Amino acid sequence: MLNSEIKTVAIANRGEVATRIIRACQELGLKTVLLHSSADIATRAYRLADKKICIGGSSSADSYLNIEANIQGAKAGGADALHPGFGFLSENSNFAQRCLDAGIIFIGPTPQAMNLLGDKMNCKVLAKKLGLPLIPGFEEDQQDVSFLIKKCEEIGFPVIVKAAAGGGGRGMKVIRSSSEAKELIESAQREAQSAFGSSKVFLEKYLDRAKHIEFQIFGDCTGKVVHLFERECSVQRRHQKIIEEALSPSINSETRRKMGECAVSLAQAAKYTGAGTVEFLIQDNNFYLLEVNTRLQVEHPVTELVVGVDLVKAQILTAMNKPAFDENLPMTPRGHSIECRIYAENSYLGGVPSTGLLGQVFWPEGPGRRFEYGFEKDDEVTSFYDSMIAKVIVWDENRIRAIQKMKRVLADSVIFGVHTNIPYLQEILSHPDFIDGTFTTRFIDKFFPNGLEKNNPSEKEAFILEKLKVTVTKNDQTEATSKMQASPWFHNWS
Amino acid sequence: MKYFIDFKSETIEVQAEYVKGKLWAHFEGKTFCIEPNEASFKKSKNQSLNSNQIFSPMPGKIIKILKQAGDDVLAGDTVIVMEAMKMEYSLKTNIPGKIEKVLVTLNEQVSVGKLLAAIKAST
Repeated sequence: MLNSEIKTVAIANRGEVATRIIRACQELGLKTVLLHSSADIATRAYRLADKKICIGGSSSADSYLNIEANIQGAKAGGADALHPGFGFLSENSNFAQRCLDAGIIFIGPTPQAMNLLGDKMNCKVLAKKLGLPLIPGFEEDQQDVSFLIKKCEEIGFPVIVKAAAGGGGRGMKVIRSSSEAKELIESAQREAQSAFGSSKVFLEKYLDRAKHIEFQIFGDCTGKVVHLFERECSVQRRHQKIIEEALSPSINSETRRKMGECAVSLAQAAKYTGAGTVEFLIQDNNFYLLEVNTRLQVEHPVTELVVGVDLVKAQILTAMNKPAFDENLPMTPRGHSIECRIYAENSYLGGVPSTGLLGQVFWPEGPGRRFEYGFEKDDEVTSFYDSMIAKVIVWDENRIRAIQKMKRVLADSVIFGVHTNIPYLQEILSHPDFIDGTFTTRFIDKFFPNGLEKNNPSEKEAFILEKLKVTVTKNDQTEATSKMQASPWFHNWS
Repeated sequence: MKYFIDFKSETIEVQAEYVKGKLWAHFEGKTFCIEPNEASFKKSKNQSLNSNQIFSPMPGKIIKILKQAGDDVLAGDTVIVMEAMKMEYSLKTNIPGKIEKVLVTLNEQVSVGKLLAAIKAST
């Protein structure tokens, strides 16, 4: 049995999630060591952590994705446990194993469970064995094109052909009829060969009007696995989620029960511990297992708000061999929660990223409003990492009220210095298909493929802006200055 | 910084600040960012409330002339559309009446504060 006493937690991440983990550690009376890159000094997590260790340069490969640098940093910081957050190394079973080898408790599932569920092919094999619904398809070795075309016809068009070794959209084609199948399969095989060194492809029924619904699962230290209901994340742009909510507006209690049972049986079969997410696609009332994310999810706060739990503390407590949740807490969802991801991008220029020094940042606090952010005034949003700078989460008694609240909160949120997707989010929240809950994963492609059209300022807006140009003079500006150059760390580590 | 700006009969609270030479403003649920050379424009003169004249609020190009001399207009009608910094600005009349004269031509470059059109108020 591993020593499960934890006094100091290393955080192998950045941004808002690093801040989220620090807060949980503080509440549990644990010290924190932030393992950061040289570009992440002017950030909120840096200011909140008890210790900070720069583990490498600004590029992720040098720092956040560097296994040895993270292990060294955690040891140098005296950490007895490590939280990987999400993204970066969070789903890397080698990293989890390296932590254990180095005597550091990895706050997450075991490397074995990560391999079993996190690997798409392994997961499919296990799910099949358990009789769970998979997207109909063909994933065997036979690669003869005419044979694959026959399989496509059996599955029924549209079919998606995917590179077995790949991901990220390469070697991926949607086939809509027999006549185009040959050309597309051959093309996918060629792309797969050049991108991944293997021409092997597999076929899946393409679900063109599906909803993305995922179940939060949690395995405690006694081996008991529960689910904490679902989140709907169908508002996606290029497979990147934008708005998530709990519960889903589109499944009934019977479907919820069945999907929850599937999620739990899969996690149980893998002896899963800690927080994880089982993702499903649902179309025409049929649900199919998509994949499992063996980590904390970006959108975990919506589950926390409707169920009334703290998933990050639960993860840490589980790593300490302690009960994850209060035994008297009823695990019953209540009300509705929505999360909007705030991306630093220009909604009017097709969502191009926006970087720079932040000016004023104001979050309109209030009941049922939660703000998770990694940057504050005078911090710099750099181009090195992804553009998610914050998350806004609301809770209210029902979905309509939660939407109303979110719209108001976004309208009152102020971020100067970088453009954000707030105008885009506001349009989505006002769209009839979003409001009535009928939206699918094709929602963005269908209604907002190119971001927003810039509207002309109204007479009033133009008037005010003109007034400001003469009122806000550059002389009285309290011009923010970058802290990056001033920090001693910059010189030490650059 | 907080500013209070009077527009017609209301006072609007505005958050505004320069960040790296750009003017950022937030009011009534929207954030605006004005690029440096745009932000340094001089005050447009004579832009009074119930004006019967439309002045250019910025240097830019006239890209649309929607109303011609003699046309009837309602308060809020767009008369001219200007473009500056690749952004379009609709210049509207805030009084009802008849267009008396239009003093610019399509694609004309205009400076800030130039009289663009005059409106004869309906009585």
